[in-house]
Amino acid sequence: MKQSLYEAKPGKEYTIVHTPDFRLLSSIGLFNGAKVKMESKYALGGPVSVSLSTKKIAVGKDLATQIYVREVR
Amino acid sequence: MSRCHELQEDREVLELSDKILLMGPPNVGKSVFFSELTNIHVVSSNYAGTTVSYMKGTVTIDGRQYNLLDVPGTYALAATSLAEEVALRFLASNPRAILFVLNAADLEGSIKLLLEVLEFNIPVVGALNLADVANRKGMEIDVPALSRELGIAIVPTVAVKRQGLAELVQELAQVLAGEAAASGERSRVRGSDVEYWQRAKEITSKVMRWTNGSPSRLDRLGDAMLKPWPGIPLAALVILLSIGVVVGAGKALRAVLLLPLVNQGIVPLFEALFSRLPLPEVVHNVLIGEFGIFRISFEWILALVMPYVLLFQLVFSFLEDSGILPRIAVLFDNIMRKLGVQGGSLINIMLGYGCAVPAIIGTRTATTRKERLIVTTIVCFAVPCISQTGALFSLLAAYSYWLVLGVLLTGLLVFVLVSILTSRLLKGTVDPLVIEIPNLLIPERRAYFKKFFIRAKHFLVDAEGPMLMAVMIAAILAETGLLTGISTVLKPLVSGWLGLPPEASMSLILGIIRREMSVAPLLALDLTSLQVFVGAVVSLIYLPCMSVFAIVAKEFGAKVAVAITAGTTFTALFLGGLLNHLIRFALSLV
Repeated sequence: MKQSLYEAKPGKEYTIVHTPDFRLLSSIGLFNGAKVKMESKYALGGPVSVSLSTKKIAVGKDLATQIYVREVR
Repeated sequence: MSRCHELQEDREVLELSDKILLMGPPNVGKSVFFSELTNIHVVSSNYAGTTVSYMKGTVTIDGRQYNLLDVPGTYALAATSLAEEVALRFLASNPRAILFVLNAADLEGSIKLLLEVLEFNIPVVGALNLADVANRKGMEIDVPALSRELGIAIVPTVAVKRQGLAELVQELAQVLAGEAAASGERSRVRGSDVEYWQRAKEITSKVMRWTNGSPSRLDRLGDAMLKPWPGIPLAALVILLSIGVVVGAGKALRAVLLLPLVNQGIVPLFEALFSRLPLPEVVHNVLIGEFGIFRISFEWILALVMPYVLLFQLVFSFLEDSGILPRIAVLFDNIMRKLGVQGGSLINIMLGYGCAVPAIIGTRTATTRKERLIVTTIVCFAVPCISQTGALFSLLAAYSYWLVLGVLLTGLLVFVLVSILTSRLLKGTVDPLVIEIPNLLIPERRAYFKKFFIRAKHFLVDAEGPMLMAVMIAAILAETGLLTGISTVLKPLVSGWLGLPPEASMSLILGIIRREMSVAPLLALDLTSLQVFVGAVVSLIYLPCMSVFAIVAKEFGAKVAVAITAGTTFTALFLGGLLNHLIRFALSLV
């Protein structure tokens, strides 16, 4: 099931299936096929934080809603 | 404008011979390598993008001098940001070698960038830094295997403790001795980010394995600070504690040590000295009168400004090195987003509570010009530098802590209004937050104090001149009678509109030079609570100081600098007068 990263559930692991055209995302490690673990989502329009294998990244809501992910089972 | 200027600076640097480039991803400690290897001191912090410009120093290897250039940290080399453009220009400028710093705790990300760098056919030596953090997190790296996979020498280092630096220089010497001049041209067209990431993952899986790392208490605290609960209360606690330490300890230092020293020690000494000299009265007064140079330079600079500035540096350096700031940026991104910017801007704004100049230079890390302009305007309008905060606090707290709170709230209100207005009015966009969250660290003592002393020295060197200038102008104006004339001219504004005594015109004059100098003269006047409040609000919003004007003009052009200056001056005087009349009116009703 495809959903936006913004709607992903904390604690679960996902594969990124679509990213918007925003260069910093792929150079920092968020590209199609990358595996991420959802960490937290911040209230009131805040960002989401995800962890990659060895680092943590926070992504603002306006981008997170445009990144699509699929849950890893 | 700023681009052209930077290119000019570049050319000199690019034409240097015998260059060694210091490269690596953001926040890996490149600046520490730079200051340890060259003895030119650079300030480094625990968040991405401290090196928004670049630094040059010399390093001696095998008896020969080389120019070491600290290249801004980037995640890629694709010319899509100012920092990446700078890095690419350096790579194409015929360097002799590259010292590449890898983050052992994020090997994959480091290898990804290194793979891009290796395509330029320049000899590279790798430093595997932050090995201590990697160990703590349970990562075990096979260094010889990593070196084989990449085809370059790799030296494990802990730069803040100087570990591995001697070996690193040896490896550099070997590379420099053996190599012919490097081409510096890319061997092929740049691949896609995904391609580099996949290769980096392959290499990482061969050379790194996870052991049973035991996340330290610090790692758990770092994770906790990132969650809304307990992150937000913890962040609030950290901010309050920081303010408490700076303001509380500053006040104590002033009361217990500095004021007695100045009033009972230094000033009487000069009084005695000057009274023995056969000086004309005017000269005597300019030197040691009520506003004499040798009285107020100590009262204002030593006892009023210094304690707060030094304490702020001490506290802020800790916040920077620990990795707390990016966590605050993440936690408050929602509020900042509603104000038209993004959480990352908050790091520069907080820097502005120390001094606006580094805050404005720091906006170079912002991805759009609009964001840079908004943050710069906020800092100029609503963020008092620490010297001014100290002075304001001394002025207001003598009356009532309610006044402190009132001015604080007025400042926040102006902050919010300026942010909302500029983000609506300026053309362009502000990019959403994308930020790497560094590991929480306890700053290593040596590096921490080194940074503190460098900053304190910079402050003394940069600020002393303008402060002494302000003091001299104050002394001459007050002691020669010139002030009376100026006060008469400005009386309708200062007294009629703002409701302050005519002598307060001194504040408006000195405020042109430095922000805290618009507060200091008010300390000597006998003011009512309302007058103190109005004076403080005017001084808070009034002109950014001369250095800030210069840096805004350099970064954005003279037009922007003039516009911001006119805006702050008008707003300060308008709001000050408005408050004066409104409060008077309200009081007359009671």
